[in-house]
Amino acid sequence: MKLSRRRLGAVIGGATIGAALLPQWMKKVRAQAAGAPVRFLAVRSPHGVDRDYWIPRPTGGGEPGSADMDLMELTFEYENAILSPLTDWRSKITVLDGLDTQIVKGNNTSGPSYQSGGQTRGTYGFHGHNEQGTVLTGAQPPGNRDSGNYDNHPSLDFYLHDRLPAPALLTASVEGTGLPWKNMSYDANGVSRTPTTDPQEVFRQAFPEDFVPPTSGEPAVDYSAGEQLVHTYGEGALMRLRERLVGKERDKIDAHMSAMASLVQGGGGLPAGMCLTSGTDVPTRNGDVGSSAAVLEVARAHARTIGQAFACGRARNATLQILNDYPNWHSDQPEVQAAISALYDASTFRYHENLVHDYWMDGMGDARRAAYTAGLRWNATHFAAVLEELDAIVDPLDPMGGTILDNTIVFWHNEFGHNGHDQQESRHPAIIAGGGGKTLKTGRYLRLRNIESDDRVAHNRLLVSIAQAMGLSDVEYFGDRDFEGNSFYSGPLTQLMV
Amino acid sequence: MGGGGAGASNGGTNGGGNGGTGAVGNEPGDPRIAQRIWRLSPEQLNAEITKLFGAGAPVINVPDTASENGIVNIADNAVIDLGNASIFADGMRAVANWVVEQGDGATRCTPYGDSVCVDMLLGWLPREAFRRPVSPAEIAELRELFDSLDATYEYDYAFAGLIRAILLAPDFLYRIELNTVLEPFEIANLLAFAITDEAPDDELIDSAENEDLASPDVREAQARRLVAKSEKVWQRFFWEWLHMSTLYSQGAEVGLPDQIVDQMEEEYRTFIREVIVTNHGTLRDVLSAPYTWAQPELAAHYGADHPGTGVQRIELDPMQRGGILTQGAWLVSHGKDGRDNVVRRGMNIFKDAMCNNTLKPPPGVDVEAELVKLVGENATVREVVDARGSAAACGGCHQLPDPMGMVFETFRSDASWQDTYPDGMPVDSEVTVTGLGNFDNARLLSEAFADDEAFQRCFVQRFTHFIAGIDLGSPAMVAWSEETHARLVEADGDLEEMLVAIVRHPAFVERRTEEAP
Repeated sequence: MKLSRRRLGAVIGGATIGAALLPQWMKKVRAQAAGAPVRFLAVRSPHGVDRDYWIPRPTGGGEPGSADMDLMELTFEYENAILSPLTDWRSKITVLDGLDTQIVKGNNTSGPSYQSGGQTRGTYGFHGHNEQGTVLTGAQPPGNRDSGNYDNHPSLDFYLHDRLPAPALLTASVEGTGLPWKNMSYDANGVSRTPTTDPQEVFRQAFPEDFVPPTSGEPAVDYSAGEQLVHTYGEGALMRLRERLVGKERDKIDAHMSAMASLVQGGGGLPAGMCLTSGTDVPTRNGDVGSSAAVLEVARAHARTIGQAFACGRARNATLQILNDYPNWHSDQPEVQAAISALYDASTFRYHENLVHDYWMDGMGDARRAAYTAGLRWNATHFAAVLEELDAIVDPLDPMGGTILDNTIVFWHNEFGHNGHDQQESRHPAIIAGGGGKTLKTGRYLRLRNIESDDRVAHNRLLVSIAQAMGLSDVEYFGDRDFEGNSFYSGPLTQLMV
Repeated sequence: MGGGGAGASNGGTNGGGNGGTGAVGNEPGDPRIAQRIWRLSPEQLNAEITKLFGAGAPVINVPDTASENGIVNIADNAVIDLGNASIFADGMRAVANWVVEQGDGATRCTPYGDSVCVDMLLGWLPREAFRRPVSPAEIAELRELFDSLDATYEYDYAFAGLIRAILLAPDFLYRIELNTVLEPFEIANLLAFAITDEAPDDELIDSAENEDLASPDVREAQARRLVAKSEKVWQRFFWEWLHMSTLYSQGAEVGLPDQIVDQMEEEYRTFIREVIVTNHGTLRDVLSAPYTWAQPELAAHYGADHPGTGVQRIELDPMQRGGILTQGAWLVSHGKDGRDNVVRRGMNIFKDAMCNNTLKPPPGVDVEAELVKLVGENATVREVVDARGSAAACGGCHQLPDPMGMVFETFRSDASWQDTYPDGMPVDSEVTVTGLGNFDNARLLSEAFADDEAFQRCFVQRFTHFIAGIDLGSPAMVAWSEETHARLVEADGDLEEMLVAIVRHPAFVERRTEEAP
């Protein structure tokens, strides 16, 4: 980006903000010490998890050596590992091992609830899909799942949107979820919101057709004067050294100075984030999937749109559901196909029924495990693509030149936990990404409890952690109204908080 | 097949050499290096950042400079220019942002976030980053920079900008050797980087402030102390000198599992540390010790017993293995997915480890086809080697190195032991190496190299090249190298004594002036 000399001079007395169309919460950022506002994106993938192939491991195998480890000391590269597509993202994610949607068993009246098969509020009991809404609402499933209402409980994205408003709350999905009780988001009254499958429609929800960037082509905050000050200091130091040198040693310094000067002149200093999106920049990709190969494209289009909306202040919270149990695109995925060839007729094979339903009850043969984990690994490639899209957009409001990913808490999860389709409340796969480590720790493996024990860690505490990390420090509990004040479900996950 | 003859042993240096081709000295034989600046190597840069701010700081991926005879960190090549400036600028930004995100710990402030914290940072960072005392005027200039940034922007940005300014200053990025007799802190830096590959430690800083580091006795005392921290230097040197950076690519080519390749590098690094640093070993030990340190999987790959788990010392069959030239890292680096590795391994020893020049076959010559013409399609490795060595077009280059490579034929391309080739033909490794004798055992040949003058002189030449960042020339032509070689021989190959001889020499701390062209 080239900045005119006139513009350089204009900002010396104070940073400029192209603020005409910025929402109020974006304008306030200049008064904050910590920089850009934090955004929230929840991403969901289907088909549960086998926790033992989802965790990072030491290079030689086995369980991670301690409950709090640097992910760089662990690997996602082992046979059947689900998270191998996230290897390059280890510094920007935290793996939470041992998180439980325990609240679905909270109404048990006797015995350890997770053993005795006690009552949930819902009539559907232990049907895993019935409990999908619990992940973001923190509430028990409703008695009638078909009502389209999660018993008046809002999901976290709606709650945050209410407290930290922005023009739009984005709820996107790749393929439709089909049924209201398979959705991620529930409004303030607990009404299920059907996600939007077409990225072009999501874009229109974020950007009105007549939307123009605040100041076209200019950064929201211009740090070029600061960059010039840092450069000038370095130039002075180089000049002093240059005067003591002759011959080829002086040539070295000349080359050094010339290169640094060109960086500043060429705008190669601080990567200046800009809202460059106008209302006419509709994505070219629509929501038609049509084949498993197209899933990634649609997921990327959604993620890019969400990132643009975050950068331009059009949204601060979003959800993105990348497929659901149907229409079984995982069945066609080549790596899955290769793995199931010895077990099933490829023409009738269905990933969800043959693997997800039966994975646990039938026992895990090597081929079955390879096929199941291949499908989940495919999910991880989608999530890696989401991170890549968010990381490609420089945040206009980040004084440190960070990206949208650096300022977005991304919560990736599945609809089921470790132990299968119908017994899904334990060991939910949860990954926190982004946020630049400013609010929630990144780059860590955190084992929240003894995995083999009967201990449980309520996922409501993760929802509290996210709310507090978004700046809502007054939130000590988030979830089912019947459990407010219950310490087991309250307070943040201290291991995760910065 | 064509090509010319091999260069004379030890005479054919590629480097400038103060007394050799392309001399850079004021007069022939002048061993002094010119006044200069020398940019930190990528490893040094990242190690310094970690020392300043703690583990977890972002790593800056600066490309290696062009190498000379395998030696990578060459002073003349280490520049910052249009090709890499953005890597430094972006890298320092990432580091500064990371430091700010860490707050109290990395900034050493309690608490981070106010004006006092800025002064606290300026109380340590410039001095530690610049590796020398910093004047009040320099501190004031940096404080002024922060205040200017803070007047306009957020505190975090201003604080990170201050850190960036310090890390992008030439005093951090370069080692500076500008005085004809180096000043105490210049010597301290030189000593520390030469022996430990890191900035001076507290004791060396203290010595620079209170002792006469221009005195060879003081330098010797410091050098002997620093030898305990010298593992990175030795590990990097042997790796570069013996051209082992191809371990991973060749490991993949010959089909080795990543785990075994990783363990081979681990074995090499452990061996160098234990033999040289922990046990004060000699060049002979490095080349022929009949033991190593390995994980169980690698021990099994070698056919050796292992006492349990993890990296442990294991004893080797002395009739099969001993020293780094029989370890996986070297053997695989110079192995190929084919029948034999005579030329690759032999040439590495003859050309790289013994400083000889050889020519490559002329472009367009199909070497394999020419060999078939000489010996037919079903010739044994022995027949090929003999024919190549005696052919007029090939022998000039192959006659001397091929026998050296032939001895290592008992090791497959993946470094495991073999008595027969995959086609069932027996391995015939018995050779006569000119000037060294008859061998059928790689370890004994390696041991003979340790006592061979030509090998020793090349070792000294390459090591001084590595330490000085410039090829000083062969010991035969440069007094500094010659005296170093003499001390190595006198001390029966003791590597610490060789290091001490280098740092005691006046040329270590004197710089000649270079006039503007």
